[in-house]
Amino acid sequence: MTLLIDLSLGLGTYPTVGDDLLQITRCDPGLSSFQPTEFVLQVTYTPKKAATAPSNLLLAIVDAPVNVLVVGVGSTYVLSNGTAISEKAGVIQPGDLVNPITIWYDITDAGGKHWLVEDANSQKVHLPRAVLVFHELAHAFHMIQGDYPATSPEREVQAIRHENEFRSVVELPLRHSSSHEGFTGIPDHGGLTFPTCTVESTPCPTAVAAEALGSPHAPDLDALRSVRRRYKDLSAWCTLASGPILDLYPKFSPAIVHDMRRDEELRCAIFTRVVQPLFGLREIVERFLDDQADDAGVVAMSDEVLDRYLAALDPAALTTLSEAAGAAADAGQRLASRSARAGDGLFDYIVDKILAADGDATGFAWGFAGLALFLRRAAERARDGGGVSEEFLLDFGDWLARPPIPPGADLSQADPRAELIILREHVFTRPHMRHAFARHLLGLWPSRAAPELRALLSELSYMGAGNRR
Amino acid sequence: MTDALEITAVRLSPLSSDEVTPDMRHGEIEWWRLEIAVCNRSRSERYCAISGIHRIHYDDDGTLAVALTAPAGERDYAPGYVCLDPGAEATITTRISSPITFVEEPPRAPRTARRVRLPDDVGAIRCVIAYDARPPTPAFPGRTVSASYVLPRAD
Repeated sequence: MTLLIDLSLGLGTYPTVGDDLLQITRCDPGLSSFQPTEFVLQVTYTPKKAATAPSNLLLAIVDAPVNVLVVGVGSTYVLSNGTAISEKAGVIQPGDLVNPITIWYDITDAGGKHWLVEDANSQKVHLPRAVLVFHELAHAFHMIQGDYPATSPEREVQAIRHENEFRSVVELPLRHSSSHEGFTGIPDHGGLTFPTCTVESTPCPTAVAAEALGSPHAPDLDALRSVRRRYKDLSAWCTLASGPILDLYPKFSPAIVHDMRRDEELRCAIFTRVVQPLFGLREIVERFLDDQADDAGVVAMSDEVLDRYLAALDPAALTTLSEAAGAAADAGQRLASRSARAGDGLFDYIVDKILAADGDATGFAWGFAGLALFLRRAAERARDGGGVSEEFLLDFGDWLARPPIPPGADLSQADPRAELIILREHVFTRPHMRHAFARHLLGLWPSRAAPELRALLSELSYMGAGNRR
Repeated sequence: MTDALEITAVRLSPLSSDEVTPDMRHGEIEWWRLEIAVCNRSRSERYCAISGIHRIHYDDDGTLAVALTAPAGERDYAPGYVCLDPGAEATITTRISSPITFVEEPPRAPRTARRVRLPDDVGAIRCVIAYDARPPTPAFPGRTVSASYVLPRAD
C-alpha cells in the first residue's frame, strides 16, 4: 500500500503531480516512482536529504498500509454529487472497499485566476499548487492515523497546522489557523511565485524518478505508452505477441526498482544502458514504420537520435558501449533459451530478475536484441563517426519483422488474411520486412497448412520478387 | 410573474493562447470562456447574483446544465457574487476546462471518469443563477433564473 499518482482519471497531469510531490520533499533525490499498472504510478521514498515536517508526513503516507491516490485535475472536474471542483480547489474522499483515499486537486490555479486563502491578519495570500496538495495530504495522513476529526472546521484546523509547517519551510506567508475560506484573485501580499527547488544535477539523473516525475523525460514515457496503446491491440496477433510482455513486466520490475532506489550506480547504469537507448529505439521504430518516410529520412533521424544519446553519456560510458552492445545481445539469447548463467554485469542482473519472475520471456529476448542493435550502432558512431547505413536499416527491419510470438501460440485462430492486411498497412510497410516476416511466420506455422499460407503470403506481397536478402 | 433578473445572453468561446497561462497548460486540458449576460429588470430593487459555478450536470440529450447556486447545506462559505442596481447589466464570466470530467461512483465498484468535450459533446448549455436582494450567504436558495444556449454547429 502506498501513495499513488493517477494516470487514468486525470488528463495527462501526472508530471505536474509528481513535481508537486517533489517540491514537498524539496527535491529529495530519494523520491522516485515506478508504474505497476497502466493506471497509476507508485511513489517510493527513501529520504536522502535532512528530514522536515512536510517530508516526514509524505514519507508516512508512502509507507502507510493503505493506498492514497492523488489526481491532478482541471478546474472543471465534477464529483459524483455534481459539485464542481472549481469552487473547492482540493477535495479528499475517504477510501472504501474498492476505492483508495482519493485526493482531487486543481492544478490550474483556479484556471489561471489564482487560489487565495487568508493569512493570520485576514489578508489574502496565494495558495500555491504544491501547498494545496500538501494540505490535502495532511487530511489523508490523519485519516490513516485514525485521528481525523468528526467536524469539517476541526479537520481544517488540523490540516492548516501542517500546511503552515510547509509554508514555513518554503518561507511563504502563514495561513490563518482556522479560516478555510478560499477566494480567487490577486494576493494582498506574498506574491504568486512559489520557491521552486530544482533537482541537483548529477552525472546520472535519478532514472525512474526523473522520467516519471515531470522531468524532461516525461514526454518520452508518454511516447512509449502511446506506442504500447497503438500496437498492442492493433490485431489479434499483436495482442498475442504483446500479452506475455505486459504480463511479465509487472512481475519483475518492482524488484529492479527496489534495487535502483538503494543503488545509485545501478540506477545510473540502467538509465544509460537501457532506458535512454529504449527511448531512442522507440523514435527510430516509429519513423521506420511510417510508410511516408523514405530511407534517407530514417537515416538522418536515426543519426540525430544516436548523437543525442551519445551527447548525454560521460566519457567512461562511451568507451564501454561495444561491451554493452555485446552484453545486451547475449542477454537476449539467454532469455530466449532461458539460460540462467551466473554473471555480475548489468544485463546478467536484469536477465536473472526476468527469469526469476517465471513467465514467457520471448518478448524481452526480442527487446534486448533491438537494444543491442541500437547500442552497437551507437558504439560504431562514437568510434568512427559513421552514420546509420543501409545495412543497419536492413538489420533493423529484420529485427522488427521477427516480433515475439509465444511458443505454442495458435496463430491460425485469427483470420490470417485479415491479420496480414492490417500488418502490411501499419507495420510491415517495407517489402524486405514483409519478406522477413513471411519467413518468420512460416517457421511458426503448422507444416500441413504451410502451402495455403505460402499462397496467401504471395498474394498479399509478403513473398515474391524484391527480396533483398 | 417575470423574473426580476434576466439572462439576456449566454456565450461560449475558446480562450486565446495568450490567456492560457503556464499554470493552465497541462496534458489534454483546453480552455473555454462561458459568459452569462444578466440584466436587472427591476425598477427599484437591487439584486445580487451568484457568480461561481457550484454544480454541473450533463444530460443524456447532450445538454450541459450549469448551476450558479448555493443550496442549503452544500457550501461552507458564501459564494462569489455580483450585484446589479435597478436596470443594470453585467456579464458573469467563468472559465471552463475541457474535457469536463464527471466522476462516477458505481456501488461496490471503482470510481470511473466520464469525459465531456467542448464543443463536440455538448449541444446546449443551460444556466441557472440564484439571486436575491441581499448578498449571498453559504445557504442562499433565493430565486433562480435560467436560460439555455444552443451551441452552433458547422453545417
